[in-house]
Amino acid sequence: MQQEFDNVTFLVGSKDILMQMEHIPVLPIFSDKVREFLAILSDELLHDKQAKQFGDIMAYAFWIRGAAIEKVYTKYVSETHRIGRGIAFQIAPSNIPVQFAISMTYAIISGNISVVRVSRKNFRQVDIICEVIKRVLTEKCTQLKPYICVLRYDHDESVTKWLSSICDIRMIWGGDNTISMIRQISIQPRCIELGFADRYSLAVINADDYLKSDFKVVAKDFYNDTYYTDQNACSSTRLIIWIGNQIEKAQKIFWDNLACEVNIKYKLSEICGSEKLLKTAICAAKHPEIREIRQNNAIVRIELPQLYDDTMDFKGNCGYFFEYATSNLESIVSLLKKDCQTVTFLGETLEDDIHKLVDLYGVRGVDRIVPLGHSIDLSFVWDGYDLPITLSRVVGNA
Amino acid sequence: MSNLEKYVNAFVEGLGVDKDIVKPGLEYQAIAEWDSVGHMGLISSIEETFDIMMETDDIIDLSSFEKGKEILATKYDIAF
Amino acid sequence: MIEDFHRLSPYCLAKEDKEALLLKEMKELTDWHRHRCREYDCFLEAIGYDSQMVKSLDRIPFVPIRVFKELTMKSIPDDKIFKTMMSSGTSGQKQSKIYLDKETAVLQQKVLLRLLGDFVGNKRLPMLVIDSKAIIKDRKLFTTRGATVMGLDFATKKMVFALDDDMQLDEHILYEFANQYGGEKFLIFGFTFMVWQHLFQEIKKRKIDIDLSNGYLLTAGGWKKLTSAAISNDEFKKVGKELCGISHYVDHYGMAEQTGCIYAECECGNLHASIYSDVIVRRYFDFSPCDYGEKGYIQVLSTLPRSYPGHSILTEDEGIILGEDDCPCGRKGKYIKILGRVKNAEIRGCSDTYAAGI
Repeated sequence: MQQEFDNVTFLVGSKDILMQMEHIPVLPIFSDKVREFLAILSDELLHDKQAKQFGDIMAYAFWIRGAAIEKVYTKYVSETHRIGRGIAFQIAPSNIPVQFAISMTYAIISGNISVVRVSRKNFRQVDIICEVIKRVLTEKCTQLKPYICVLRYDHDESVTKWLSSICDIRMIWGGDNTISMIRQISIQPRCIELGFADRYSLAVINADDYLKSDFKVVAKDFYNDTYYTDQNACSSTRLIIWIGNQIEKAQKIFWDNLACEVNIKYKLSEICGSEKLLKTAICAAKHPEIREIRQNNAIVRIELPQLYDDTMDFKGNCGYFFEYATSNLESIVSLLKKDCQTVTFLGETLEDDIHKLVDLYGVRGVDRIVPLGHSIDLSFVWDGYDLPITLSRVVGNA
Repeated sequence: MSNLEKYVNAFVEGLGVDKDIVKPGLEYQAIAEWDSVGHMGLISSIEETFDIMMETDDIIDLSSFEKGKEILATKYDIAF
Repeated sequence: MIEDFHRLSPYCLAKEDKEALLLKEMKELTDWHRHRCREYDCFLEAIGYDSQMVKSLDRIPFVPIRVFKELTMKSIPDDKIFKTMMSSGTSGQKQSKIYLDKETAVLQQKVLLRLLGDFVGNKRLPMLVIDSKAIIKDRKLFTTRGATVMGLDFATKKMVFALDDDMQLDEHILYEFANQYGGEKFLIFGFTFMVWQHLFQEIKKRKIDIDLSNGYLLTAGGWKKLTSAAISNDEFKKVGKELCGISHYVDHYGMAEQTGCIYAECECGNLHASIYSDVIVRRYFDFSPCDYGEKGYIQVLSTLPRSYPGHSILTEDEGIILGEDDCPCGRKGKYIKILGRVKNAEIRGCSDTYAAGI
């Protein structure tokens, strides 16, 4: 195996640590060691001058802060005799810099040994977080040193093959192509594999409830759900379903307020205008009844007279929204397919209503139902997996 | 150390600012250090200081030095 | 009517007259295509186009240039397709497909000749092509390079290809051409990077001693930087002058989607719009027209496309309008500068960029 590592850069850990991983004992879920490590890592990151320049690092650090992890822990405290599965080999996505750390957190909190392969793109965030992890492992949490490796390597299938051959969990964050390419590489019979693929998300807004809300706050929330990640994350809202009586009035206020927010905060890439115009042309060729509303190139809306089965084939980003008004919430069922990840809602009864739809129709999609503004909140439940449970095993006694 | 002293310290630590400016009247977004990013450091620091876990709504509501005291006093039984 | 344009000298109209003539033609073309191309009609409907609202040229709707890669944009039945032009996209990318009927193809050539004539004279001249004959082999399916060369066929008395099938400069052909035609005015044509690499660099390397000082060098794609070599326009001309004495340079901006309507470079180094076409530069934020000197998307308007709805296209090139009607060369109309491609966005999110290498 020696020569295979010539082209591997270890951002955290080393070749020796990697080679030893098969022989390292797994830990219980939410072990003291790991909780302590995360709390210290959080603290260090929150006070790191460089890290402070990146909102996404701060959000990650905030998520793993001591008090927050303790609170999550209380939910799992009754899960006795749960331990890690072994080595968790994770392939991080290339467009979300901090995802590798989130993935690592899932792996180690569940008691596993974590190996993450990060993208070849050089993100400052990755370097900063790795530096801090290294420091914490060297200075304060030496016992966890054998449990964490972060690597980067170029076009080198042999490393992926070897890691796949020894791992007990393989987690792939990325597009459908990435996942199917990696699936070609075999894993051990008892290894479990999780693919976090491309998904889409939508919002349901009750116009009458919206009109009673604080418009500025909603605009901020919606901005965070969408523009904050260039409307290109799996959790980004692509389609807005309006229900209620005063839809037209609500739409006007909603978009006007969002425009204020976007004008202040969003840096629109130059290419977006023509990109969105192209989307409209392609969509219109298939569905001639659609109508484009272009306030400016930062906010482009497509009014749908009906929900097409293939609506999401035409989804755009950086502020390209489908809109559909209906009096009957049940009409959205056709969109709650496998690829549908998050449904955000604004409206008093909507959370229940949407849950009921999911149950009643037994739809294949919808992994999260969260209030508007919370689509990118980090959570230990993701894409329908309760990760501390999924990534660990229970030693039964019956 | 009194709870007030601890509270002031949490601001100093969490935001990385001088003690002199941590006083009544200090508000979210009023100084460069207390922006949305600094806010996360502050909350973490307060939680650690008083060994509590704050609710999301309280995290958002904590928009000034005074307001923070009020939240801690009414919801988390910390007497000032 | 396009005949109205043919009756005029190609750079004679000042702003007001030109806009009046062009606006009428553009509105007619928009109607013409929407009744013949379903995809185009759907697009106009979707963006809420209302012909009543069009009172000035900048209100003519435009299609994004990549639509010719994504959709079948044609306004003629299949049996009227005379030839299909493909853009020279790199492998793996979708190619533009431009459907031409005879009428449009002829129109494109006619206008190309009229425009070029204004720069190099109307006499048909011998032309040395810095390319290989191979690029024009398949006449039904042209690449931009092939089409551009073929489009010049009519303009020339004799066409000689200087490169062999392996894209190597054939010295004998070069000498022969210079001996036979070098004493009088002639044309050299090539894409800027080809001229640089396969003519200039080879002359230098092989120490070829040749006099091309009577030649008019027509280049295409010159606005794109010679990326690998980072050669400026001025340096290009200086080297050409030193190596083989070329002192007449006519670069141009054009695209497969609007063949014929080129924007040729005058003696003052400016690219000119003729009466057959126009340029509007648009802001990134909201597509509103830019002021002179302000950079933005280049929208090109052309009176020529009849067989496909390409009379008004939003390109993904970036440029500025330098001025209108007042270039020292005396040509009327807008003159422009091309800055390059609009920057591609690096967007966040979960999209698929890993697959390229495991």
